[in-house]
Amino acid sequence: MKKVAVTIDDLVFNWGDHTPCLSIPKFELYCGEKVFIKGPSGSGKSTLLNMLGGVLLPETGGIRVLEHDYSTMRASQLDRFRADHIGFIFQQFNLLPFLSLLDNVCLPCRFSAKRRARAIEEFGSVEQGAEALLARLGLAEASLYQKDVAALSVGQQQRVSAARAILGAPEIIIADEPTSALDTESRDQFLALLLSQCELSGSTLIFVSHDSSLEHHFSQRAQLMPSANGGYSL
Amino acid sequence: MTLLHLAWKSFLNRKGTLLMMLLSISMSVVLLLGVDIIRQQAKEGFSSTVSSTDLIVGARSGQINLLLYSVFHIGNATNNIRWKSYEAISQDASVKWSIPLSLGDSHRGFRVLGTSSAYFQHYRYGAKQRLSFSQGQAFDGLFDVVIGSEVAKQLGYRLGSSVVIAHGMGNASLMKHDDKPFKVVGILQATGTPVDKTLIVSLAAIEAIHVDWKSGVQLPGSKVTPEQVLNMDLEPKQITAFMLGLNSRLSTFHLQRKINQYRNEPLMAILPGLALQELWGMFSFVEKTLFAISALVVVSGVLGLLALLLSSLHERRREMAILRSVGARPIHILTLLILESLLVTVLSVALGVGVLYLVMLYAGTLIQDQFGVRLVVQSLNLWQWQLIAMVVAAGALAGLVPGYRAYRYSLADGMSIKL
Repeated sequence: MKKVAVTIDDLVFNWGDHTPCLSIPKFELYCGEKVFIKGPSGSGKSTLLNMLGGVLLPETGGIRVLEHDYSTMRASQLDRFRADHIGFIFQQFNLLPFLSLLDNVCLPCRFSAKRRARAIEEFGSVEQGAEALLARLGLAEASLYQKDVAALSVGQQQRVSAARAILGAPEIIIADEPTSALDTESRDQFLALLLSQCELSGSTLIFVSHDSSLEHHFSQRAQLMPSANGGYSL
Repeated sequence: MTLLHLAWKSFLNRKGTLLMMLLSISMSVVLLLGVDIIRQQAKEGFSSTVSSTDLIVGARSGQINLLLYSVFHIGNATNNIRWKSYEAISQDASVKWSIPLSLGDSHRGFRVLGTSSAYFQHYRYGAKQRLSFSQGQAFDGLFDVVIGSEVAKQLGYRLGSSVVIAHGMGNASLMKHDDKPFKVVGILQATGTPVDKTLIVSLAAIEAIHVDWKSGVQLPGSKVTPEQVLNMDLEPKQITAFMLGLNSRLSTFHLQRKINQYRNEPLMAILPGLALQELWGMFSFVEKTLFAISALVVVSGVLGLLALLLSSLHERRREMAILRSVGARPIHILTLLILESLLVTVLSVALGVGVLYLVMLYAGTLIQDQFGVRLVVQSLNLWQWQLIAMVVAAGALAGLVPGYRAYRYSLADGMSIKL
C-alpha cells in the first residue's frame, strides 16, 4: 500500500477577521505523486503552502504530513520537521545574495542533520551532492560557481533553488509559482528537469501555479475555487 | 557554526556600509581607551614627580601651594625662609638628608633652581630613580649651571654654552644678571618631570648674582665683578623651601609636628604623597568629564549600528523568509542578527586597539613634545579590558533590538516572500 504524504481534513483558515479565506474539506496526496494546484492570485496559495510548511496554523481542521499531525506539534518541532522533510522553491529571488552558488544549495543540509546524512549517503558529501545535482540541472560549468548568485539569469537561479530543494532528498517538494518569471522555453525546460529529478529521488511534488498551460505535465490536479462565502476552497 | 558563517558572509556582503560603521565604532574605542590610558599614565607621571622625599618644608601657606612651587615650579612662594631655620632642622637626629631649594630667577622662561650638590645625590623621581647626566657633570665652580633635557633641546644649548640669568619670572624685559654669565657644565637626562625644564645652579651662585642687588634692582655704582665675588662670603641668608629625607618613615609625623610648631619662624612641612593626591583630586572632575564624553561617543557609535541594522531589516525580510524555508527557526534569525552586530563590534574593538597601539608606538614622542604627556606602551589593565567587554556587550545589545524585530517578522511572514 502506498504511504500517505499529506492529508487535510475540514481545514478552515481565517486572516483574523473571521471571514474564511481558505477552506479545504478534504485533500489527500500519496508519496511520490505530483500534484498541480491551480489558483488565481489572491486565492490563498501562499497561505496553503505556509500551512503545509507548518508556519501558519489553520483555525480548524487538521493537517497531517508524513503521519505527523501538525496540530499536536510545537513551533520548534514544526521548524525541525520542515527542515528535515520539505524542500521549497519560490517564485523568484530564491537565493541568499551573500552566499556562493554552492553554499546556497548546501544551506538546507546545514540546518537539517537528516538531509545532511542522506546527501552524504547518496553522494559522499554535501558539496559533492550539490555539484552532482547542479550538473543534472545543467549548471556544470565551473565559471558559474565563481559568479555572484545575483548575476545568474532567472532561469539559472530557479534551477539552483531546485537543486537546493532536492538535495538531501526531502520527501516533499513544494514549488510556489517557480516558473512565472521564466519565458516559455526555459519554463518547459525547468519543469521537465524538476519532474525528472523528483522522479529520481522519489519525492512528492506539490506545484502551485495560476498558469493552466502547465497542467498537462501532471497526473494529479486540483484547483482553488471561489466559494460562496467569499473565500476559496480546494 | 553555520550561523557564524552566515553572519560573516552577510557582513561581507554589506561591507560597504558596515565598514563605515566599523570605522566609527573603532574610533570611539580609540577615544575611550586613549582617554583612559592618557589619564592613567598622566596620573602615574604626576605622582612620580617626586619620590623618596618624606617632607617638604616652606613658609606657611597651603600644602598645594607649597607643592606647586617647590616641586612643579608653578607659582611663587608667599615668603622665603631663613637659612638658619634650614640649618637647624636639617641637623635634627631623624633627618638623613636635606636639599635646600632657592627659586625666583629664570632664564628665557625656564626656572632657575639654586640648590646644593645634595640635589643630585638625593633627589628621586618615578620609581626611586636618581637624576643622571647625559653629558657633563654636576656644578663645581661658582658660575657653573646644569640644565634639564628640555632646556637643552629647546634652546639648543651644549656643554660650554653661556647662560645669562634674568631676575624674576617670565620672558619679557626682565632685568638681567648679565654681568655674571654662567657656563653649562652638565645636561641631565629626560625625566618626564619639571626637572627637565629647570636650570640648576649652586646656592652660592644665587647669592653671588644678587650681592649688588637690593629690592629687585641692581644698586647703581656698586658693581661687583665676578672676580671680586669669588672672595666674598656667599652663605645664603634665605631660601625658598627644602626637602627632607628621614632615617625612618616612622618619625615623619613627629618631625612634621615639630616643624609646624617651630618657634623661631612660621614654617610648614607637608607630606608630598598626600599633597600630590589632593592636587590630583582637584582634577577628578576633568577625568570624569573626559570619561563621560568618550563613553557617550561609544554609545552614539553603537546607536548608529543599531539604526543601520534596523533600517536594513526591511530589505532583509526576504532573506529571513528564505532562511525560514530552508529550516532556520526564528531563534536562528535572532541569533544571526546578534552575531552580525557582535561581529561588527568585535572587529571594531580589535581595529581600535590596533590603531591605539600604533599611535602609542609611532606618535608617542610627538604627543610628549606637544602635550608633555609621556605615553608608555603597556598592556591593557583590568579596567580597560572591562571597558572593552562593555563595548562588546553594548554591541550585542544593539543586535538584540533588530534581532527581536526580525524574530517577530519571521514569525508573521513565515515563508511568504515579500517583494
